[in-house]
Amino acid sequence: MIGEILSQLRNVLSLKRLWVGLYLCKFIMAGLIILPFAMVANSELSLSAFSRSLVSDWDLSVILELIAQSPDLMPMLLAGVFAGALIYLIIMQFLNGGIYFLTVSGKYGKCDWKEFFAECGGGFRHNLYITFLMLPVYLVFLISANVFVNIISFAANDLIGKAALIMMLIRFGIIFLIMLVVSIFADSARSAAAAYPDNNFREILKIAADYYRPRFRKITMVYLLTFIPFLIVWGMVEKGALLATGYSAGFVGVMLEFLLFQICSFIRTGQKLWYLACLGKDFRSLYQGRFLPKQAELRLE
Amino acid sequence: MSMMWFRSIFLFFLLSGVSVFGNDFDTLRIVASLDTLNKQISGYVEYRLPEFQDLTTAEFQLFPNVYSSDSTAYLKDYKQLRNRLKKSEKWGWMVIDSAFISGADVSDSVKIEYTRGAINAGSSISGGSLRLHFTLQVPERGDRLSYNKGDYVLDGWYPRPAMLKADGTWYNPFYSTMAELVGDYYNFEVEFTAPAGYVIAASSGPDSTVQTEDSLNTTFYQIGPMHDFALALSPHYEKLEMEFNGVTIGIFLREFETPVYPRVRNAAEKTIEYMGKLCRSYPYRSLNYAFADVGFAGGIEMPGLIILSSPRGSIMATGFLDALVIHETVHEWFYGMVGSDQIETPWLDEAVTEYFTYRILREMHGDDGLLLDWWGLKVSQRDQQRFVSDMFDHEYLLTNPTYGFAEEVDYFGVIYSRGNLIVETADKLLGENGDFFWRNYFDTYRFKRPGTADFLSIYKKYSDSLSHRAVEKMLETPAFLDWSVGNLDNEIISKDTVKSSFILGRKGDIDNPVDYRIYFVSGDSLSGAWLPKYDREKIRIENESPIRKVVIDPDNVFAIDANLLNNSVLSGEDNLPGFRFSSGILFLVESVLSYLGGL
Repeated sequence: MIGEILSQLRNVLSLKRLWVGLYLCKFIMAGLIILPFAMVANSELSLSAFSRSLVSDWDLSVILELIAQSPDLMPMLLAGVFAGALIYLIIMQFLNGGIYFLTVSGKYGKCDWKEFFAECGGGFRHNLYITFLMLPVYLVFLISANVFVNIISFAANDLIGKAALIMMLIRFGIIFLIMLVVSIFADSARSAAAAYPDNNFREILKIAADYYRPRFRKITMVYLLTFIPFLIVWGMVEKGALLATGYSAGFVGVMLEFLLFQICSFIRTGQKLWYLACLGKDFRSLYQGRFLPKQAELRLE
Repeated sequence: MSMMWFRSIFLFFLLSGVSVFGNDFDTLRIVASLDTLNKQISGYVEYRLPEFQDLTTAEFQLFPNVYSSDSTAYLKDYKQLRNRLKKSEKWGWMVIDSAFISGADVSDSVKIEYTRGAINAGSSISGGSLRLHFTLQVPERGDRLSYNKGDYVLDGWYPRPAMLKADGTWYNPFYSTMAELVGDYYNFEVEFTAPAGYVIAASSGPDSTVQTEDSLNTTFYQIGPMHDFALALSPHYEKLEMEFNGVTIGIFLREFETPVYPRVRNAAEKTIEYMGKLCRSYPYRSLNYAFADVGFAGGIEMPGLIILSSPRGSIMATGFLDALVIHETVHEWFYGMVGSDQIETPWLDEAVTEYFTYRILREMHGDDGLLLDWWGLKVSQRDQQRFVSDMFDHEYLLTNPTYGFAEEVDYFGVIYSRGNLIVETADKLLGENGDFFWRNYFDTYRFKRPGTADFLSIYKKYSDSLSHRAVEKMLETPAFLDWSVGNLDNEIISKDTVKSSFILGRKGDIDNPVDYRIYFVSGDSLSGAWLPKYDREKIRIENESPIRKVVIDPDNVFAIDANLLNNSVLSGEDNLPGFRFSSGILFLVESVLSYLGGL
């Protein structure tokens, strides 16, 4: 399995323009969301010596003082995140058409931008339906997962301090795993929509279910194996950022930290593409749909 | 037979010298036994009534009646506890079975209304001996009086004397939500019987324990002067004991709580040492800490005994546990020995205690009392207090009584958080006289019940008139203060001459002078003091070097300053803090979008 996963890395690298584009889309959207927040925060902090400690530490005294003096700041940010996330979600449903087309068809490096965006447009409707369907499903599973972890952590009721912290992380890990398994169904459905664009929604879901049921364990493992390198990079980035701002509490440290954060965000995009490449290959091996090679077409007369 | 023998010997030694501080205090004797089957305590209390001409009435407090129904004043706004008791229907109450004054049966004269008990004897009972036989039903999962799965926390478990005022009327506190026990100082003699197998943490170490024939243990205690005597019992307690500065520290915990023992011990020792130097040494022979499931996260202070909520959960990986232990231990001085009325003047114990908690945390952890320092994220007790203090209605006065707050969150915000900042400001205004003031205040009101006026009268001795007036304002009005400095301008006249100016500002009505400090580009600095005649004043300076930065109140003497961001001004904008903060938020938002949008 590891060999298969690693072999897909090459395909992801051939999608580097898409990778960069997707990252930039996320970066620009996040930037637009926080822009009003950043302007207000900077105007409050820029003339005050009190805020200087924020350059080397995440000094909560400065952050709380800022929030206390600008009580509209956090509601503004949250409203922006909500609105921006909604818009981003819709944009992604448009882009998913093209992304899943590439990964399921395996046409890495053989697809031009016209075809890509045509597939984006063609798959938008099905991807949107899948999102609408999955939202209540996520909610139900999130609640159930919380109930489940509350039950099993009852036995660990008497944990204190660091042990309790580790238990909290385990609980989070279990919830993450459950939600991941659910989200793989969504990915299966999107792959089915890419392979069978002319089928109606119910048929697409049936194909997805048929694929998902015997394969979800394997695909979950694939996701986790592609996620672990990202986790390692994330930890290194956080540590590196701390070191950068700790040892160089100035322009260099702050810029270095900013770059490290963006590298991490970039790699996160790559991780998802890598996982989708693996999923796409596996899906295509069982359900080619319109990607069936021409010589395999049967014509009955 | 052996019990009678022992009681006789015990009484003999009692009569020959009772209290830590001589015989200035009356004796309050409690004899009671715990029935673990019915969750009841029965027994009697006995004490001498005050000497007062024509005293014909006696009053006493029956605190457990706060748990008697869901409509009591105590439970009315205490939603969590009220719902718990409603669900279990295991209410608490106390009744007086019989009453005797100097041997005469006055049971028929006993009137009880909520927590207030009264006897009208009809004739003078001045100096007489009052004996009240009582039965207490312990509520399940109450707060300071409760049982939970065989463990007990017992505070307010006996009928407590009311307090006679100078005019001969009784002060019998009314217990509403958030009210804590109030009482006079007595020398306690306690004889408490409980099933063998229970480990008991009490306000005092036991003088002795006798096992009776039917598997009951009777423990004898003798301690004073104190205004309360409390106990915590559990068959699961392990007791860890150590000596520190002549005090036996007992820590009572269940097996799973043993990991926190070193931290509790360390915090306790640090506080005993600190408060001993500042005020007086802890005067009693023991100080006990007991963990219990009290239905909330926090602690309950009683003289000689501190109840700590079980430290389950990850929060105890931070400094919050230290802060809790320190806070409750400081209460042994301010509340335990200086017995201010927690109902009428809660700030005198809570705000003062919170302030000293902050000082001790700074000694232990530095940096404004850091509670968490994790991956660059620093959270201090000061952060918590400033943030919470700003969240509440500033129309509340610090000197409000407990029942003067509409919501529990307002009470905690004003009394604890804002109160701490006000007490700190008051302390800092005294400068070097601060510690002398606290020592004098403590000495003057040790084993007494001071009020706000008493505090201010001692404060006046150590402060100038402006500071005293400022503190009066902070206590008795919803005082607001915001120092500011801005509009820094440097005009270069020649190679050696720069004309600089900046504007100092004040919002609020505190008239005290305030320091400011000027930092020049050359590296020099200059300190000044501003006595605000007006709310804004332009300061002009001619110097060789331009000004880089101006800071008003650089030592944060005025801890109640509402806005610290405008306490300094830079000659040029520094966008780095804002950029770094925004960079972190950007990364956070990108992560959210990644999980929501899939990429």
